[in-house]
Amino acid sequence: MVENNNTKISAKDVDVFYSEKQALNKISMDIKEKEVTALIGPSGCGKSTFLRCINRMNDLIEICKVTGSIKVDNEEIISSSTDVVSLRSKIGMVFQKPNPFPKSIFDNVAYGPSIHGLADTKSDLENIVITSLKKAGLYNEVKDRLNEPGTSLSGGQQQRLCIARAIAVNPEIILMDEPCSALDPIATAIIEELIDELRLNYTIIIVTHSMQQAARVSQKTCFFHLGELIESGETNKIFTNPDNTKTQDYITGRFG
Amino acid sequence: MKQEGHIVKSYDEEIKDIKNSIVDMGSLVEKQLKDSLQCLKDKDTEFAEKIIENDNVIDKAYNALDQSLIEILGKRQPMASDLRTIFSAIKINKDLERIGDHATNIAKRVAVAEIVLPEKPSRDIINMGEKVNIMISEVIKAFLEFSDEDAKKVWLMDREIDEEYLGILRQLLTYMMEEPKRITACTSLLYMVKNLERMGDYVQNIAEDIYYAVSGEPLFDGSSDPTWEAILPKKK
Repeated sequence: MVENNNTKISAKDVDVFYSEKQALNKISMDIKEKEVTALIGPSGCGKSTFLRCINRMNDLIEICKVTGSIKVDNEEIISSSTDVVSLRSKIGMVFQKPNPFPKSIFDNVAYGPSIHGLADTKSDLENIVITSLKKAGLYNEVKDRLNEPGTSLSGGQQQRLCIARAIAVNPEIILMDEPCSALDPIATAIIEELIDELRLNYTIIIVTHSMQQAARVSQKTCFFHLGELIESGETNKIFTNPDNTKTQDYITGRFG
Repeated sequence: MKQEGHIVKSYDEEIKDIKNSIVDMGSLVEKQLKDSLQCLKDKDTEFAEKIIENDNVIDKAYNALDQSLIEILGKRQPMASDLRTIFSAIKINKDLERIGDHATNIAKRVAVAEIVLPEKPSRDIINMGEKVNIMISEVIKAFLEFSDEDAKKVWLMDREIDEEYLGILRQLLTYMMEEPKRITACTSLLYMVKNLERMGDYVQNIAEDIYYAVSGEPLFDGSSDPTWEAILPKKK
């Protein structure tokens, strides 16, 4: 594998508070472009909170306060002057439960590019939809029923539809919050295969509860515990020979 | 690194069983070598036959442990130190089985030896074999204690075995040159001494596996550690 050294996202001293309760404590990390970074840790450790800082999703929670610095492509995003709409067009997100819009398969994917004005003509839009569905590995399964509702698809297909929807707006970063936890092993394998392909073009950050999944899909792994980043590094190293005892105890199932 | 128990207690039990099985394998192999040396000492061909049969017991224990190891891999998908322990156990089991084969080979040579084996080299081979047996016992202890330092110590013990091997080899060559009639008998001894030398190498492999399982680092990583370089085999 070719090592790249381009930092896509750089977090420094990120603190997150929900009212008085501190959810993240001085998180600093660099995320390389076109790599998959897995965030692991027990429930409530802050991994999803950190993920949501990257596209400013925490803004939607009134009591949530984020301080510190996160730079995406060297631009500060934790700032009142950040253009959140343009930031989010750069960053796609896929959630734990597939959440297609109550619209047709076609419209699910077409919605983002339309509102962002990415297509001038109808055929442009069609192209974007087809390309995105192909990139998400879904096109062949749905090409004859693009007008059927997105919700008519199976769970795994719905999740790939959400991935197609996310990549339709041409993002650079894809955030995935436990994207496979509601899927069966086959649908999971298809998504993992997809992640492998997507990382050639996108920077991917994935929160997962499955150690094996983190080990399979990611190049870097970050272990969170009680709002702190305990250890981060090469996935191969973390899963065979972690430096920190807490990491060791967690990934071997010893956490007490 | 301190190790607490797994949340799933049966996983702890399985790892404990694996460790016990390695210790049992070690005892079987030690016993096999001890018996082989005894039968060489007594030139007891009847006993030699029994020892040869006993190799089946070691093979069965090997297969049973191998099966438990693949089951634990499939079932638990071990990570980090657990993964290293299981991975090493797979290799250690295999190496112990090979040591058992070499010990059996000594008995096989005794069983077919129709000639009188020369006393002095036979005695030296028995002494050498006892040292190999100490190495086996020490390496199993290092595994049980999960000690990289002890594993390193056992690794070093093989130097002495290699020296004895060369010494006995020279001795046997001299015997053969002096008295060509002894060639058949000395060839048998030559095979035995080679068997012992190989056993020492397998014990070294085991020591390396333990070192890796404990520390997560290879015993030799190519970095220039002066204390190690001094003891590494010299390039010729």
